Amino acid sequence: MKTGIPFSLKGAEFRYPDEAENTLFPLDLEIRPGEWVAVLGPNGSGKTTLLKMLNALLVPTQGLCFVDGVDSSDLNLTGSIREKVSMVFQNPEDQIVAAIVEEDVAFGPENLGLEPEDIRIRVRDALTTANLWEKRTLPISSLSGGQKQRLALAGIFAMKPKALLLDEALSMLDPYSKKEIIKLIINEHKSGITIVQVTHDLDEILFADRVIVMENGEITCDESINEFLRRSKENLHEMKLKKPDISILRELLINKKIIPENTKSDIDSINKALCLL
Amino acid sequence: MPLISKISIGQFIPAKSFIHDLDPRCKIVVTIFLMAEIFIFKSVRTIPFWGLFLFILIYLSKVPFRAVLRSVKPILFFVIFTIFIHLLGTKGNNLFSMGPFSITKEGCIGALTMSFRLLYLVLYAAILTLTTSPSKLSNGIESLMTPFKKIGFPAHEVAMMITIALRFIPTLFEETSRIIKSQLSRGVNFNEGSLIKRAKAYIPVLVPMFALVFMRADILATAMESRCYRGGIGKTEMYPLTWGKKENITIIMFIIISFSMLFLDRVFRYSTFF
Amino acid sequence: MSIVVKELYHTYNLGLPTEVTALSGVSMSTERGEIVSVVGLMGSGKSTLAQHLNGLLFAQIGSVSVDNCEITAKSVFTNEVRRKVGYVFQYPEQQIFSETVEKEISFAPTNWGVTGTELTKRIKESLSTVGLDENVLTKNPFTLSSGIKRRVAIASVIAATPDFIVLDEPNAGLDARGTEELINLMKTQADQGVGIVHITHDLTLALSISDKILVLDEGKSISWGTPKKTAELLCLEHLIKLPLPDILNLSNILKKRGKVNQVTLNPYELASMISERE
Repeated sequence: MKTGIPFSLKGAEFRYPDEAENTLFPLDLEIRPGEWVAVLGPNGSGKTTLLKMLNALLVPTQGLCFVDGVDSSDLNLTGSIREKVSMVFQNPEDQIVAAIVEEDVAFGPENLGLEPEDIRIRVRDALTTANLWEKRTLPISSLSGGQKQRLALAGIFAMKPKALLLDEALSMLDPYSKKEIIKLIINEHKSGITIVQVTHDLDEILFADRVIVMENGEITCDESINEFLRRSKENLHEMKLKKPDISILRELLINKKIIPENTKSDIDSINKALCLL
Repeated sequence: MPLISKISIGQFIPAKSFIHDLDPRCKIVVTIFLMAEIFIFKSVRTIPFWGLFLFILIYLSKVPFRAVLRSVKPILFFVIFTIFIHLLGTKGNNLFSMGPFSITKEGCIGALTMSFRLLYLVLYAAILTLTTSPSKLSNGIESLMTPFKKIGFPAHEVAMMITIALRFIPTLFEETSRIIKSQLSRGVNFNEGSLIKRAKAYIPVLVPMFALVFMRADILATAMESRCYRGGIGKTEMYPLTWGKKENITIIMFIIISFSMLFLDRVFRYSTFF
Repeated sequence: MSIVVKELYHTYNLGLPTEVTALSGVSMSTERGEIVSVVGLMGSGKSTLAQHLNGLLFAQIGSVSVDNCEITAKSVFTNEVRRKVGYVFQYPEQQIFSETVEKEISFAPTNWGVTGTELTKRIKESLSTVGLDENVLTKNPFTLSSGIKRRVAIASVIAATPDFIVLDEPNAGLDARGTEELINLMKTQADQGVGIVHITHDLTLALSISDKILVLDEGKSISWGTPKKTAELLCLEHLIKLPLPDILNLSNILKKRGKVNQVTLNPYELASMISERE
């Protein structure tokens, strides 16, 4: 039974070595185990910097960051943090290491020093979950962009992480691949792992629990997904975000009392609610 | 970009065969010795025997013949060039003359020998890469280089570099092609002008290419760290290398065949039997 | 001036085991001042089609004509096809190579023989079209943010004053404001008489700004016409893997069940249609 891990930032600041100003100003943030947090904001708001602190790729220049209770600045524990927290990057090409599908999925478990039999089982399960088992002996070059990103996810599933970090991981994909990957993420969420997703596309986060908005290195908004989506189109526009049409519809229907307040922001849920009339 | 399955030369083709299952170290060592042996044998009459051996190897590997023969394409020009050099440049018993050019018996033999040597060389390498996945190949190379670790040779790092290089070759080709198209769209003409002008025309291709490679290397390194890469220390393998009966039989067979061919070569060279 | 594509076929690696037919009998056309979108998933053939429009690829079967002159390996240069049809690729990193933004933007026009005061004028104009200040000219493009790099890349194509511009997935990775600015750019250029060919997998975007839409799936033309006609056709039978925009999809489902009497892209419209029935 997988359980997610918590994250805790206390007064965490970050400044890049050659920069005159901070990228992140003192932040306090608590993320609960199993929460799916979306981190939104325009380019340059510091959201990727924040994300990289959660798996100790970056360490706060001031303040503290705790991953599952462990201080991320302790270099001896960086390895164990990365065993629990996995990250998916934006460009599928940039994270695939081996030339053959199953060999790339094995990369992570091999690094963990697991037994060969254990590795093979994990690889099989991960590829099956990501729907790539039939392609396991194919070369990477024969995969589409969406398939490559699924492969990157499979490589992470094989690590059995307790937290998943997504750095604009869907922005280079076409709509069909996006939907497939979102389904995989929803399943991971159901299994209880913590998910932190950086994006600027609200359509990708309709199933998240919580939304954090960043601007110029500070958190300007921290709300549940329902509260956030109730914000007006104009309000979101000011944050350089586009309110998903399906959310607009849902709100209009709720305001006119046509569907119940707890209806989720997706086609199936709204359709079902309308069926019940 | 279209989803073209880019089967590049020497690409791994998975199958269940005797050769596929062999330990990569065994295959690498045998291939290296085979390649060396080709140059030791002097008699042109051993060529068909080597050809037969190769045919058996390809058959045992269960790789389609067409895939293997395709790997010869890139050096075909070079082979034809070699044939010409030998045919026209060797002095001896004239078979056929035309003006200043004459084709000699020695020239024919030389052309035949050299061209087949080149072909066999490439074919042996092709069988190796077609039957061994890149990661097994690099594990094999790393394992063979391990004794040199004692004198400070970075065996694991070199093997890792080979794996990554092999993985990125198709990607780099595709990206470079896109860069070229981008610059063609901006009015560059690679075929026009003096040699210097044409060379300069490639700067708008090389700069983005290198920039992208460096950017990618940076992100890839970060991604590898995220996936707990710590170098070779403590790293295990999904398919560990196992040297067993199969490998021993292969080595013994190889030694027997090598000596047989050596014997044949001597017979052909020194007997008066044509 | 127009671009006309007639019954275009394209097969990669003809004769080899890796043979792939990327386009099967696709036809479309566009005039200056129009915005035409070519919509499809990866592998639909849209990039292949786009590359025929400026002579990066040549027609194997069928034809592509620019300004009534068919594009062939010879005519590409004599007819200045690549000057008339500009192409902005998806990632600015794949084209930027100069030390300064000024050199980068002047590259294309210089290749077409533009010099002196005319060149300076073009550079100024293209910068203002993409909303950049002149002080960016002396900067090194590699040090700029991705949003500004993208604008520099577009400016460097506009500076050659093409009659048509092909934009390959121009809004990939852009935030909402960036997408808005892009839409404005496309509309302004079209108003000024430039023909826009927009290659995308974003059906929602295409439906909202195009004069005509070509929908491709696995190399075949599924629909060619106005946004309204495209939306209606895609709703009749869902013939392709490309997902429909959420509101269109939902209104289609409801229409089939008799809950509303027409399909729409607009959530406000859909909400009123639903509430009228209830």
